[in-house]
Amino acid sequence: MCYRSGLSDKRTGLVSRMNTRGYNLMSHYSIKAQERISGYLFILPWFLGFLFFYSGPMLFSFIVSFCNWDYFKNLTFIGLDNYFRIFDPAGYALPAMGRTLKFVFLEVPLQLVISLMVAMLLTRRIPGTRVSRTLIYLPAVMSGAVGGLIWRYMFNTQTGLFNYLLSFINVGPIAWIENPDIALYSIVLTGIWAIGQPMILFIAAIQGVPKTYYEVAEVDGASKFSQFRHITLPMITPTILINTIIILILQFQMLAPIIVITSGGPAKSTYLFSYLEYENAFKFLKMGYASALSWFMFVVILFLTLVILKSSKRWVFYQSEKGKML
Amino acid sequence: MLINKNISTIVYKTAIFLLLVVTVVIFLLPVYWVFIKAINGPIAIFKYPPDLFPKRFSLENFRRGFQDFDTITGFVNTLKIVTINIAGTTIVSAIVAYGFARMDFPGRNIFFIIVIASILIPWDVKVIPQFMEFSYLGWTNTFLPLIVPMMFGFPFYIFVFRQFIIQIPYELDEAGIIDGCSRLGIFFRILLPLLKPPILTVMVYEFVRSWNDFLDPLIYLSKMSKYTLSLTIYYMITPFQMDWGAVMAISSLAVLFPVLVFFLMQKYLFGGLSFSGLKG
Repeated sequence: MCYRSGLSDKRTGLVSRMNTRGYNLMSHYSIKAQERISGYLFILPWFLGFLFFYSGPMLFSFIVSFCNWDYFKNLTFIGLDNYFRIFDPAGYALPAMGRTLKFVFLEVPLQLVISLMVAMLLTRRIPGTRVSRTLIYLPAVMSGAVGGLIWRYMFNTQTGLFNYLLSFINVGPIAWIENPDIALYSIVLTGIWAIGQPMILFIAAIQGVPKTYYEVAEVDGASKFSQFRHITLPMITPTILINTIIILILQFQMLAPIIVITSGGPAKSTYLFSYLEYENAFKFLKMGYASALSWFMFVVILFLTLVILKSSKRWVFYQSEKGKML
Repeated sequence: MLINKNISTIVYKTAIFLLLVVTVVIFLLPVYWVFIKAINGPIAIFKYPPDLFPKRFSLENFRRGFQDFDTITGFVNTLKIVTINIAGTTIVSAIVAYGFARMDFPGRNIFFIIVIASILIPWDVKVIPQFMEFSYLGWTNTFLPLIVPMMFGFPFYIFVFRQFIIQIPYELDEAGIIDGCSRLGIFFRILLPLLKPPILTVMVYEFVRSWNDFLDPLIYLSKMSKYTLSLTIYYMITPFQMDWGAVMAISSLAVLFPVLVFFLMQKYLFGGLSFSGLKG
């Protein structure tokens, strides 16, 4: 930022010495004021969008979360009742949040470890890594509908691909999405195929580690594993942090596979919090309760993100101050 | 000694290469399965044991996909939304990013932090407020909820553009100022031609995002004439009717376009993330 303001001082100096013809319209303002006004004009589209589509509606939904509202009918203020309903031990919300937390705590480490392992593999000096990178990314470009239906098809107990492949090693047949004890883990499994994005960030980070570090380690006789443990891993901790946060948020809002593959069943075993929210908002049209649910989820995600950010001071290694983006 | 070392290197590299092949095969499995089942005809859909490699070729699934369902409408609707979104959001995001990268005004850093923070707002959290707003405006069963918010710039794209612009030497802008060019003129005449890499990155991202968007159409569009491709495919499987053959055929087409774009644009796609400064 210091570098930038240095530039802008130089710039204002330049601009004030030059008689700028481009500013005729605003010539009665000072150069600095002109700069400000055009700055605000440039970011105006984003600001309006933020007002109309993010903060405005969200503020409104915060108000609605204290009301009973059946989709534009019978708006009545009911105080904290929607929130009491979330914390009702006999209700659906707390078990759904429990399931979501279980899902997230399984999926996040799994996606992190596998995307890092694949990224390590793709940064070896062997032929075919560039095309493999694109091929491994491909499952992530399937839409929620297509991806979900394919998984549902491959999970079929009688004729699905998975049980056929498992039959070669005499396992199964497994009722992937029909058994309440297994269904949630099957959904977790599908998440492994969606690691394209974190993998790309890991590849860029691993390639950014200076080669000289490894050369020095090689001379000192360090094994491949200790090179990974003591050079690669510390150097990519900033990327691990970013990936952890991105995956965490994405997994909390994971909804399309649930809608397409299991519809929350069997026996509510995959009835995640996002699906509860979806049903209340768009099937039962309970906008007040749904608003309260979405705010509750927001607070939980925010809390977990802040915990991770706070803890990052202990384990994230920055080479320079410039690296501290988040 | 030297020969030994060479042999062990070759063995090591071969092992790593085999591991790479196995990984690629595992990850391609779902995509491969769509294409295989699409061209294998309806008989192969629930055949057990399934053929791991295609044994027959039939376009019957495609015929059903196009005749029994209004797939053409789905394609046309999706193309409309995708085209408008790509054009609109790319240019607006770039303009906003120019403001954040080059202008000096009070509150700029705070606003930029809000941009980054709004990338992280979960879909579930913003969709319910947006749904209330758009239904109040009477926008259900139109494409407006899928298009209008994108026309104000998309936070992630603003971020990508801004990270690229701050790496471009400021002297170029100064040259424009000296020549009496307005700020907008500098942006369009001097910077825009230099922004080809992030523009292509953002266009590819936006193509894949709006082409694949499933949850927003699911919520806002309930008339069949308004279905996007994702919805057409999704509604091929209902409790009353299940045409898995048609699903596979149309899915293979729906996946084909992003796959092609990916292969043609992979340089920009993967390059885009490394210059976005996220690489740490």
